[in-house]
Amino acid sequence: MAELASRAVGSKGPTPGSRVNLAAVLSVPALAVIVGFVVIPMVLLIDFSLHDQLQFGGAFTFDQFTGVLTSSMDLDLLLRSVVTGVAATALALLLAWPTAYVLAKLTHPARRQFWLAVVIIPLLTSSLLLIYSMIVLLQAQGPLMTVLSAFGVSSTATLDFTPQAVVLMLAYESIPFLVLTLYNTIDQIDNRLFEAARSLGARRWQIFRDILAPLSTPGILVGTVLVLPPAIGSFVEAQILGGPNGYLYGNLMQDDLMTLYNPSQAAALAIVMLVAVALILGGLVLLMGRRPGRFKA
Amino acid sequence: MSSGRERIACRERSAKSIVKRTYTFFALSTLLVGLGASLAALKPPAAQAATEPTLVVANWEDYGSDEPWAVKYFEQKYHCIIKPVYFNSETQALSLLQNGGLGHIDVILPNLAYVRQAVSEGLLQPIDTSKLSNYHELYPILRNNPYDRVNGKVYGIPWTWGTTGLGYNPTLIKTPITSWSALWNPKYKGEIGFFDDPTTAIMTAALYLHENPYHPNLNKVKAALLQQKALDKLYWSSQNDWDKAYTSKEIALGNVWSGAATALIASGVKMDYVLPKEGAIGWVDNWAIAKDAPHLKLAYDWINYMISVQFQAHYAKDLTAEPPAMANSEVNKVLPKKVIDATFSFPQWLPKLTIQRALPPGVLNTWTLLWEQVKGQ
Repeated sequence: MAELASRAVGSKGPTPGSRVNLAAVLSVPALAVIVGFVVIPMVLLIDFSLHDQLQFGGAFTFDQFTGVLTSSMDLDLLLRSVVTGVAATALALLLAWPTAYVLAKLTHPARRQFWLAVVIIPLLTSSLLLIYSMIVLLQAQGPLMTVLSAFGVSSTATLDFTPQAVVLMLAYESIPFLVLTLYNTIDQIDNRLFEAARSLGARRWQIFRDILAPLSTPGILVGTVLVLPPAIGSFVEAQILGGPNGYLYGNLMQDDLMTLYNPSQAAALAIVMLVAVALILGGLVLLMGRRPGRFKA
Repeated sequence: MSSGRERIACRERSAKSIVKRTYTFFALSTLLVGLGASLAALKPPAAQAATEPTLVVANWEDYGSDEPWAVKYFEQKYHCIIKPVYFNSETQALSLLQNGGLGHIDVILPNLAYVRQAVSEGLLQPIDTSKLSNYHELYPILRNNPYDRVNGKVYGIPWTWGTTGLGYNPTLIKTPITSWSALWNPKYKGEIGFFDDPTTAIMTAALYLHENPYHPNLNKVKAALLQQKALDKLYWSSQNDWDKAYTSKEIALGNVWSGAATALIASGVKMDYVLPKEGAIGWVDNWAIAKDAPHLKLAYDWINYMISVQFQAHYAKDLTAEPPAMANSEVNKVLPKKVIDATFSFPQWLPKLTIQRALPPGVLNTWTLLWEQVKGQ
C-alpha cells in the first residue's frame, strides 16, 4: 500500500504496473467471496450429488440423479415449484411496475427517498414474522376476508394454508426487490421521450407499449433474476402457509437433508433445480433481450 | 422468545426430526454456535479459588435442572457448584460427549430413543440403581423399560414423560372425541391440523388402523395417510404453528403434544386434550451418567435428587415453567388436582403409550420417504 501511495504522489499518473497491482489488490475480496462461497460449495455440492450418501470417499454413482429424473413425484414437485415461483414473480411485477413508475416519474423528487424507504421496510423485517403476519391477514374474518365477504365470499372462508397463500407470500417478499430495480431503470428513461410521444399524438397505451415497456425490460430482467430463483427454491413459506397441499420441491430438499439425513440426494435435487432455473432464466433473457424495442426500430 | 415453550416443543418432537426447524440453516448455525459455546464452557475453570467440586450437568435450557431454587438447594446440601451445559437437540447432546465432554460432563439427559445409541458409542456408564434411594418410587412401567438397558445393565433413569395425543376445541366440537378416527372423520374436513413428522404420522396411522406401531403394514398406512390428508387444513411443524392456527380457530382438532396443550391451557385458551382409546405415542427423558464422570458420588446424589418427590413436586407446581409429567409415582399424592390435570400426569395413560425408542436406520429412511410421498402427492 505504501508503495502504491508513494507512486501516486511521486509520479504524474499511475503507471500501467501500479494499475494492475491496484486491480489485483482490490479484487482479492471479490475473489475470496467467489472462490470461498461459490466455487468451493458448488464443487462440494456436485461431489456430494455423485457419491453415496454421507461418504466423502463413497462410491461414485449417478443413482441420485437417475432417482430424481425418473421420479414422477420429484418432477411434479419441481413443476409445482416453478409454477409457484413464476406466478409469484408475475404477480409481484404487476404490482411493482406501476409503483416504480409512480415513484420515478410522478412523485416529487423530495419525497421519493421517503417512499422508497417505505417500500424497503419489509426487507428489514424477519421473514418469519412476515409469514406469520400473512397468516393473520388471510385468516377467516381477517382483514382481507372481511373485505372479500362484502363481495359475497363466505365469511368462514380463508386463504390460509393453501398453495395460493404461498404465491401471495412469495409475491409480497419479491415486491421490494422489483420496485427497486424497476425504479432505477424507469428513473433513467429520458422524460423528453414521453413528451415527444405525447406531442406527436401517441395514446397512453402506445406510450406504455412503445416506450415504457421496452425501456423497462432491463429492470424486469434484473428483478426477475433476483426474485425468481429464491421463489422457486423456497420452502419456509410453503411449510408454514401452504397447508397439506402446499408441499414444494424446496420442502423435499429440506426433508431429504434434515429428516432423511441424505445430503447426496438433497444435492442432486439442488443441482437439478439449479439447471432448471438456469434454463428458465436463459430462455427469458434470450426472449426479452433479443426482441428489439419497437421504439428502436 | 419463549425458550421454555420451544424447548418443550423440541423435547416432544420425534427422535430424528428434532433439528428440523422452520429455518433449517438458522437451526444449523445455532447448533454450531451453541456447540462451540458449550465446548468453550467445558474448559475447566483455570484459576478458580473454590475448593468445592463442580458438577457439570448437560440438559436443555430452562428444563427443570437449572431452576434457581433447585440449584441453590443442591449446591448448599452437597457443598458443590452446579455448572449447566446446554444442548439444542439430542444429536447435539451426544456430540457434546463425543467431542471433549467425556471427563468433564458428569450427568446428561438423553431421550429414551438415544440411550442405547449413546451406550453403543461408549458415552455412558452403567448405573447402580441400588445407590438411588428414590429409584423404587418411579413408575415401574417407566423404570422397567428395556430400552434404557443394555445387557441387563441400567443406563437411563426415567425423569419426565409426555404424550402426543389428540387436542380439540370443545367450543367448536361438542361431541367428546375418544378415538384417532376423528382425524379420519369427513365431518371435520378442513378443521384438522396434523403433525408434520414421519415417525408421528406413521405411528398415529398405525394406531388408528390397529397395526403394530413399530411394524405396521406400510401400504395400509400410506393409503390411510392420503385419505387423512384430504381432510387436513394444515400440516404443522412447530408448536408456534399449532398455536397460531388453533387460537385463530383455523383448526379445531389435531394430534398435538401434551406440552403444547399444557402451555395453551395455562395461557387461558380452551382446549381438551385426550389420549385416544387406541393409545398414543409417548416419550421419556432419562438421566444418565457420562463415562469418566469426574464426580461419580455427586452424580448419583444429583440423579437421586432429580427423581425425588421433593424436586419433582416443586417443578410440576409452577405451570408457567411448562412442566412435563413426572416419573415419580409418589408425586401425584402431593400435587393439587389442578396441576395433575394441567400437566396430564395420568399414570393410567402409561400402559397405553408407545414410548418412542430408536428406529433401525433403514426403517426411518423408509418411513421418511413414505411421508414425503404422502406430502408430495
